[in-house]
Amino acid sequence: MTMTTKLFLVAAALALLTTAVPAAAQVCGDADDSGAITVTDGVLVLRTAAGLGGECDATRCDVDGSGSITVTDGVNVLRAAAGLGNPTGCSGGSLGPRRTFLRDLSNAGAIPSYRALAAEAVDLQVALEDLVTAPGAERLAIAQQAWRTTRRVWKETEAFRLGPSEVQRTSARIDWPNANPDQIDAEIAGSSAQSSAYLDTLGAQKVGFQAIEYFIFDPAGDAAVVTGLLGTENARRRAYLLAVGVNISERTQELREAWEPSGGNFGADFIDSGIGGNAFPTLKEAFDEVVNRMIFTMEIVEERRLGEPLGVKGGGPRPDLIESPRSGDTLAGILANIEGVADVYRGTYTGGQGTGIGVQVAAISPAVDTAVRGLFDAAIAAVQAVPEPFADAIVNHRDEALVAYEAVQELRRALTLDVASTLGVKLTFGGTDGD
Amino acid sequence: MLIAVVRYFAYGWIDALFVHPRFFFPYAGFEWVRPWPGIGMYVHFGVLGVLALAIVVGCCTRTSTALFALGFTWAHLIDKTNYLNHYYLVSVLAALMVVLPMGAAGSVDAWRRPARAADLVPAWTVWVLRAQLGLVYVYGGVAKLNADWLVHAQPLRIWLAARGDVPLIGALLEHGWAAYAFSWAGAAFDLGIVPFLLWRRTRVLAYAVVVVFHLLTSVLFPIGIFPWLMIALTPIFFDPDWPRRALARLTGEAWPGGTRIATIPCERAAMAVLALHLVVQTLIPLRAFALTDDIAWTEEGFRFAWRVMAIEKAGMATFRLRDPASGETWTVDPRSELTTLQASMMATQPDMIADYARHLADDARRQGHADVEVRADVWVSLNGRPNRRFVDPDADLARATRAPVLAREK
Repeated sequence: MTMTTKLFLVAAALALLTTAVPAAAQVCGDADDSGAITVTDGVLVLRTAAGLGGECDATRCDVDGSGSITVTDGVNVLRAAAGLGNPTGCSGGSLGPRRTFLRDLSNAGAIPSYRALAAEAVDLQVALEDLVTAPGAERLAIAQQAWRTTRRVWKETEAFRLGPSEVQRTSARIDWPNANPDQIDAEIAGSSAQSSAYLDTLGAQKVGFQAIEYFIFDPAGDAAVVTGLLGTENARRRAYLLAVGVNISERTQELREAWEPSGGNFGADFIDSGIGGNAFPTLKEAFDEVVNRMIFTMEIVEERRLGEPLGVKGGGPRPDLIESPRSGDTLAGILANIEGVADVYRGTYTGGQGTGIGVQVAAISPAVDTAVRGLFDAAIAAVQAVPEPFADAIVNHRDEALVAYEAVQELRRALTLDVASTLGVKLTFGGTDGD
Repeated sequence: MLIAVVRYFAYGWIDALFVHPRFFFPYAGFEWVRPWPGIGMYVHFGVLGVLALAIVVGCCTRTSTALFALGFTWAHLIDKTNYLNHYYLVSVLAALMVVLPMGAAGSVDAWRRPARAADLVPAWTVWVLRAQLGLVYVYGGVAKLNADWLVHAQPLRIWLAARGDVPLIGALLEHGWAAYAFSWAGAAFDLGIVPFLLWRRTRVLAYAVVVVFHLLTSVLFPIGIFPWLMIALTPIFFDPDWPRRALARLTGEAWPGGTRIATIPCERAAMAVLALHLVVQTLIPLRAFALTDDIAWTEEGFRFAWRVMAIEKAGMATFRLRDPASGETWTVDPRSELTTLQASMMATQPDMIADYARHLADDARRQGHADVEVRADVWVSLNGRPNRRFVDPDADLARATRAPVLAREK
């Protein structure tokens, strides 16, 4: 055999190796690989879960991505066979684990979450309309509750704040860290038309959740809020508040629309990153962006929302740096942030169980995965243990607040060091970037 | 190297690495090497580009090579953050090329001064380059002889799983067995390729493997010009007349060589210097084994040892300062001053942690805190393990040259 022939054979072998492709496309939940999900598939999954001899590949039958085939998987497949859902959590199959994660984050996480956010924002808008129509204690309470609910949903979505919310600069306009009451009062004192369109021309400190908080929560009590909305002299205050409510509702609808298949379809672009989608040039960049966003959210919570008010870097407590101080909802927002990130990690999305980051971590380092799941639980428990309002806690319940800070710090460290490096993620954010 | 210089301009690395940073991590003894002010570093790299071009065409080869070696090494002595094995290799090779008869044939120099042209070079000059490359491969393989690499397939398990998007082979890379296959194949390649390149019967096949191996690494890992550098350099193992034989095969005409032998100024002295160089090159990577039993964790003796792509390590650091006189304490996040790259590199390397601690102490002293103490809270994750505290948090680093590393739980 000549050297040329040998080289040819080597090249041919290498070509075969590099052109090897994965198995044919699989449908998550299609246990018998028939091409469709039927009751037979559900029975097969249940038999496998019960150890009754069913042979079912986890890439088709572990439909919640839990790592094992359980009765829950069987029930989910039966529901799908009846047209009551679409299993998305299989950790293998034709998409590969990372694209499966993107799919579940989009379809089970982001899109249902933005739908929920948009719906809550409409409720908030309606509550504010009711309030300004006839200001009173009962309507104020309803508006305050709607504000808390909508803001918490928003805070949960910050874990995957990427794509449209950043491109359209929506995030800053929905939730800037603090309102500027002086500037808002100056607008009210002016003569500009107070419409949502006009608010779009204003700075972020005059719109969004924090602006609404300025109107409907008052350190002097709810009576002061109601008084501030009554009478012809407060007509422009009422109009401004209403316009902010409409503005938030419109911005959240835009965000939902941008992700929806019937709208901008960013979700599909995101899933198809690197294979035709426009969201990111490669799958790796899309995946890395999600992990970076999770870490960045935790960093903001640790440093800005907990650390700076606590004065952990020296100088003592700084109540003036607390986010949402008037509503006393600071810690609820922080908790929603952490839970949002935890959902992406665990795959516990608004739209149901799917593949989370944790599945990818566990495949490479079970020890890291176990540790991180524990740290999420610890951080959530530690924040829950701090009594609201946070402004009081940083002085009178400082020990609990510091324990919460340290728990969040430890979680952020694990995400930054252990999760990112286990997944080979390139960290791209700067430590002092603003949100 | 011309391409490397172009990449510096194209990717904005001159600004990112030499202009933008407000603090640099100099090598011990080279604190005086600083970036040029203003547009000086752009000029510096522009000149390096011109010199690289001159080397390519063989114009004033020895002078161009000497200036290039000096200029390239200067740039990389500015900041330890930017250390890369292949840039070190470029500096070493450029220095060797100053001594070796590089422009003797097929060059502008040979064309302009035929009297100095040559057809042959002394065999030892070729063997110096072969030995240098051989050391890179062999020590690259030695760095892989550890439990993480061979038993746990780390860090390739991490890196390959992250490349599931690579066309054609991406799906394969997500399997655990692929990490083991690549780990063992990589170690075997590094340790075994030199003998196969030296043996005439296997040389062509070995070089084909070299090309495939480096092409794969260029696709899978962000290692810049390294794969291309090695693909371009490894033909040094072929018989020295291979370019003439290749040209003859391509053109169908004979490309006979002459008998003029290149002269090397002070040849005996040059041989002695290069022999000493190879001894030093052999010993330097070994120092790590005398310094520590956990090289990947402590990184003692890690640089200049050809430990190419050997670990996945990430760190986070904050510094606590205390003025004993006033009792005042404060915390410094290095990211407020360092670039993202500097902060991440510093957080995993004990000498750089100490460098930055001393810098913070100097700053504090200038602000009136005469006897300031500096301590570091550093956590590091290595090869997919949960992070651990890296340096002794009680050690005062205000005057330390190296942060004391805590033992790693195995």
